[in-house]
Amino acid sequence: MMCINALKRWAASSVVLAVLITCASPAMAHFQMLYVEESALERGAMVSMGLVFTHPFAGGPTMAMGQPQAFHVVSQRGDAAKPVKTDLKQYLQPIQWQGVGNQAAAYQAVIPREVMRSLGDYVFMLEPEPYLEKEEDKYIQQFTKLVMNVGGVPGNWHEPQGLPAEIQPLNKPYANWVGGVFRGVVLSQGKPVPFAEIEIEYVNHAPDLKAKAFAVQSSVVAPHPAYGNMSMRADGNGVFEIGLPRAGWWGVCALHVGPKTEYQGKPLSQDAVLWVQAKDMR
Amino acid sequence: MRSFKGRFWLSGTLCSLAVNAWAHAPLLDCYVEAEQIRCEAGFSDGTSAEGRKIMVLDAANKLLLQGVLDNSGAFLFKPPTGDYHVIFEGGEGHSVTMYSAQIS
Repeated sequence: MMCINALKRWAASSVVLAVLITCASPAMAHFQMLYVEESALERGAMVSMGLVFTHPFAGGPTMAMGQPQAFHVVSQRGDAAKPVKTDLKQYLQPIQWQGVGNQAAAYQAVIPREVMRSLGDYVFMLEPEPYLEKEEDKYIQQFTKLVMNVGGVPGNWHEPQGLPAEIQPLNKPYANWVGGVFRGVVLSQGKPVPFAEIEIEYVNHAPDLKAKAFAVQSSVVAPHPAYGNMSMRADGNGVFEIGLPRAGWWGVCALHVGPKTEYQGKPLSQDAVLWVQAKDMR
Repeated sequence: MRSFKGRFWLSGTLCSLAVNAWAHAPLLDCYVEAEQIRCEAGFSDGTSAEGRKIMVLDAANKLLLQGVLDNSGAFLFKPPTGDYHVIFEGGEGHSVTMYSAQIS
């Protein structure tokens, strides 16, 4: 009898444990990454960039990217200068990216120094092919921005770029101290989205562009699922503000903000992603 | 701050690309473009450097040429033989210097 009771207790505690393990795994969100090691360059240089569609806090699973629909940069030196648009599709190369737990099709881009030689801001924009999320039977398309700077002369970092789904930065995404705050506005076809649904993730597994992989070891451990993928809402004017408690890259994703809601007969979510880099004050 | 070869001849001359940003700090970079040197200048607050003075001097600080930055904040010149340096006059005692050894 004692044995049966012990078995029952073991079974019950196992169920509780299993439930706890399931609950404790951090919630995950898709994030289209446009990754560089350094977003604020002292001088113009050749830049290696990784284009990976993944769950950056967990380092995976990583999803297979299709051929990007558009990939370009708009640069500007100074407030009054005319922005210069450069198509970057020619620099894309398909790669396999090793995420935590799986490998998937991704892209790398080696942007030559000629493109990034001048002082000023460089707003990189990626329009990926919609990704079919089979489990939910819906497509996801994340319009992604990465803002870089050369030499400290600002330009167009804060200018909306006319994407269907976009995050307009109100702070320079390439110049943030740890402990500071970052603000932005969620836009749909250039207009603010009141109370937009926003997710934030820290790039928790260091990307290695040479190895084309995330580090297996994470930087931090989420104490609760709500810490891995953090959710918030913009205010009534589409404005949001996040803290930057740790050095590295922070992804901000505004969900379902683009105008198209269907692709190839299935629901489509057009999201907006912006990448923000924070550095320790030392 | 970086230390560069060469003597400072201008009191208050500042010679780094990425020093602490003042509210209105002058910034300068030069690189080789075709057979010319292209210098670009600007300010940390995004103000245009159009019309500002830029000078090219040799190692003995002899003025080789001077000009003004165009409406894109740029100035092009044929590189002189020997070592030289470029000074961007940012106003109010703020200047930036770039040496030929840094230009490629």
